[in-house]
Amino acid sequence: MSKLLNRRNLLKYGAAGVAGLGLHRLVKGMDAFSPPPSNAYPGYIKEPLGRYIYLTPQKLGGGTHAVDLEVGKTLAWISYWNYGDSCPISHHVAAFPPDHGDPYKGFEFVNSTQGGDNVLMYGIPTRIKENGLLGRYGEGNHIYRVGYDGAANQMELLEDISETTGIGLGVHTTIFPDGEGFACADGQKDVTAFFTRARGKEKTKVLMAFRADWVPNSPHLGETWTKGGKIRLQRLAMAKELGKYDLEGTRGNKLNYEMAPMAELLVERGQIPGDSPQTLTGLDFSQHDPRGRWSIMLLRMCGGGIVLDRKNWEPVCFLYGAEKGDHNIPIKKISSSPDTWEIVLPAVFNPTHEGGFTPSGSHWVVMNNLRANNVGVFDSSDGDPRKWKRITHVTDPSWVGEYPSPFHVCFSVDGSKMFLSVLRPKPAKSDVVVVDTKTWKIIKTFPNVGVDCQTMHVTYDGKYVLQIFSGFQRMEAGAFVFRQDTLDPVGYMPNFGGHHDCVIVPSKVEELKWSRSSTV
Amino acid sequence: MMLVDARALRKTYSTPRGPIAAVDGLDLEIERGELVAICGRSGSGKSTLLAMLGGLCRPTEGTVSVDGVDLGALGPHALADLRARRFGFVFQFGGLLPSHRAVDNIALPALLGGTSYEEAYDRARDLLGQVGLGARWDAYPGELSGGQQRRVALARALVNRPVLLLADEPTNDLDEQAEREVLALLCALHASHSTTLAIVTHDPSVARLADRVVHLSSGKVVSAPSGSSFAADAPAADARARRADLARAHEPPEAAFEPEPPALEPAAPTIVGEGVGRFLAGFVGWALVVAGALLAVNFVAARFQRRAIDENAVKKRQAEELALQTLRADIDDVITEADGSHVVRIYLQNLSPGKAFYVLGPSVHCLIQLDRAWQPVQMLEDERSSANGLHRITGKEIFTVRFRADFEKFDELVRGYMHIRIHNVMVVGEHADASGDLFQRTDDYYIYLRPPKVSDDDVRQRNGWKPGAVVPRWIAMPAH
Repeated sequence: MSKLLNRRNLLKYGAAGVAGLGLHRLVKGMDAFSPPPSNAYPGYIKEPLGRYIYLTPQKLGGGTHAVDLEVGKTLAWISYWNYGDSCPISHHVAAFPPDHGDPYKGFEFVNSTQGGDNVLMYGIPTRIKENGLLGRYGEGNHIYRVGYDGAANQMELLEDISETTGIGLGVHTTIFPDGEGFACADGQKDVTAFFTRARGKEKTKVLMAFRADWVPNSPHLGETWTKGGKIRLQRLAMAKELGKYDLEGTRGNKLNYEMAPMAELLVERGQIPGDSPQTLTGLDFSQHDPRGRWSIMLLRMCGGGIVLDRKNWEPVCFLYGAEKGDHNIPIKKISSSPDTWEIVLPAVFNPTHEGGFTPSGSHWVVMNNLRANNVGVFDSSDGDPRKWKRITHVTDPSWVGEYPSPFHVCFSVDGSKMFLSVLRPKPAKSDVVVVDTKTWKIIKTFPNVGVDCQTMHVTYDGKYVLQIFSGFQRMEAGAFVFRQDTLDPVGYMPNFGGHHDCVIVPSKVEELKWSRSSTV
Repeated sequence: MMLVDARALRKTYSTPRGPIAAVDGLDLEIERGELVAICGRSGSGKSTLLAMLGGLCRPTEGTVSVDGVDLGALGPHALADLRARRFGFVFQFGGLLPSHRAVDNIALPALLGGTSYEEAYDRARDLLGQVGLGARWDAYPGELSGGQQRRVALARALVNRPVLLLADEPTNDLDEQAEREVLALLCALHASHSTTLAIVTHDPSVARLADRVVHLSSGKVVSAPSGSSFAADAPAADARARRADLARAHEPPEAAFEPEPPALEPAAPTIVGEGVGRFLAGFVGWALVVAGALLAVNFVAARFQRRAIDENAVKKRQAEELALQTLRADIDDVITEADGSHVVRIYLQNLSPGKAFYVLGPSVHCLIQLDRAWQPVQMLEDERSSANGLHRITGKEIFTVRFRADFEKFDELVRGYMHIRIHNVMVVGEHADASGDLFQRTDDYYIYLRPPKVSDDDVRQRNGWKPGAVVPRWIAMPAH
């Protein structure tokens, strides 16, 4: 004891204690510099996402901007107000692969815009209507073709395709798999059109246009779709007196407002004003089988889509997404002047919304919403679409009632995974789920990603997935990024303005199978 | 051959009563190898003289030369160097460093003189053997007797192989046996090392061993006093004989003490400075132990706190998920009553029906847009209003609130319609007693609502809608 408690040892232990305290404070001080633990996703992305240009429309912002994902700056932007459009709602985009193969040198894209009373959907105390700005130039539904000039770092409006062709549509734009044309549609008009690809100062031409109408069995609006009816698909022709189609602006609108996501049931409840909601099919997009020949025209109100043969522009069959419905329903041609086809549906079990082909074209998926809550998966490997069959439904125990519901879709570059945005209405934040395309089971969920998650896009190198969010205008917006391979979250990047879509500009035609061509 | 030559030495000390001459005009010569005893009574100046001869103090006057070197011409450093290398000192008391072992005390002057460690300790071990303390090399001074200490001091004085050994009362306060042993040792060492030796003593027996005796009185050399026991002029040959007898009588010196260990080498002596490393190692070790203990405590406390924070965060997140993701709330319908009031039906739906939860509310207020600003409308509280309370939600529950909005003018974003905002606040928790984490959810539902007095045709006409177009009673807007 006395050996331990002597002056020398006490001095030593005391000094050691002081030194230890100093060390402790130093370590604690270092702790203060360590980042606070977080149970949320990583914040701002800390890595370049590759040499890609990310194109995002701003919806009510009235334009579109292109972000360089390698350095994180906006390369260029365009605003349609500047071209005399008094109410542009920059809605959906699709980009053509440039002939020279380098989007940084320049590329062209098509941008559908809504207009008309759609600006009133979000409660903005605007006086646009009383000031007459929803007149001819505010009616919207322009399809703009825009060029990005890499040398000038500038975007330039090349063509208002709706003015050229007389067809004004405001929803999904999808490039043909060969890159030589595109489709556009609009569920307010139930019209879809297929266009040639114009370059530079060339003018776009219409390859074909169709309108779908619903002929209900029941005269009551509330039973219009549930009690069944007929889909009538009609080939549209130019108005001879105009020398082009007569579908510009709001002309042909069946509804005054678009059906916002999951708003299909508002139509049958009479809560969306319009001239003829009872004839609505909700033809919101045409998308393309990456193998090249087939396109599907999706009818939101009718729970499925019509397969179209783009070789002869003849419809082939109707794919029914609902679990309770038949897989594949035949189409009957009922008139040749004009060409009209009819599809009989005994009942519509649930509305459908978005959909997409796997990169190989082996499967087609469609979202069953509201009265159902799952993803119908079709085996589309057969060369004859009439033999395509629904093989399963992707679902989740939490997908109960109307929400949360699967929404937009895209696939990993290797085709092994399907990525779905899962919509939850504000104030809840939406999710992203990952589905194994072998088992069609959910293998991962990213909950609480952001408000109103919309379309997604993958980088073509197979590394990243970008999930854009903020369909609710004027509020939180951004893009959530995660890895395609490891499914690890990477973080968030800003998105300027509200949006409804996003596209990574392809550098070659082969990349279209992961772009806004086969999936929406 | 002369070794020491002191001329006209004088040393005075200042005192309150004036200067006192401790040594007063003294001349002294000492031959090489000579043993000189300096005798005298206390205060006669013996020790002062010895100090001046050894360069420990400077004379007030006169010169001292040792081996031809004038000590007065040397600076302090040179003098100290000379002392360390050429002189040996033995004082009245051992003057050993108590914190150093015997071997360290002996080796230390050699180390200070620039001798290598190995050489210094070799010499120290050798001298310890010569003074009969080989076995006690690692003893601390406190563990040695007075005589042993004096022997160690003698060995220390010889470690630098001095040409001049100055001993000041080296046997003072020793018992007789020890005194003889020390004297014998001195004589033996003097003989074996041929060291010139100057011994200050008042002991006649010591003086008799000297070749020559210098008597001091009042700082001056004097003849031996009459009747003195000092052999003032005893022949040197006699003295040498007496020294040899004494040395023989006590030879070997260690026979009287502990035997020298067979080998000293196995216990290697500690080198001065070696302990610093051990101390530092110990220091760092303890510092690490203390730091480790503190860090461990901090780590455990941090883990505990982190777990508590995490648990809290999980509970909050669960409460948030319950409120935002398990609870679905929206407008089911808006009905205009005959009295012009409006009934808002709000549904709360549990999306996990197997697990009930509780909602305090819905607390609903409605606002109307007037001149682009939100103004509250009159809420009606009656039996038809079922909201605002604590409700257990298991499935889909409908709650109603009523309000009146009798405004002549209002903002008409869609002509003929009021722009109404229904503000709903709900507190959601798992338990009825509000225990656990609660989450306050705030919803705003926006609708366009047609006042009762505005007809369908009015709306169609004012909006330019076609005849027969659907005119909703109210129009739902996407959540925004």
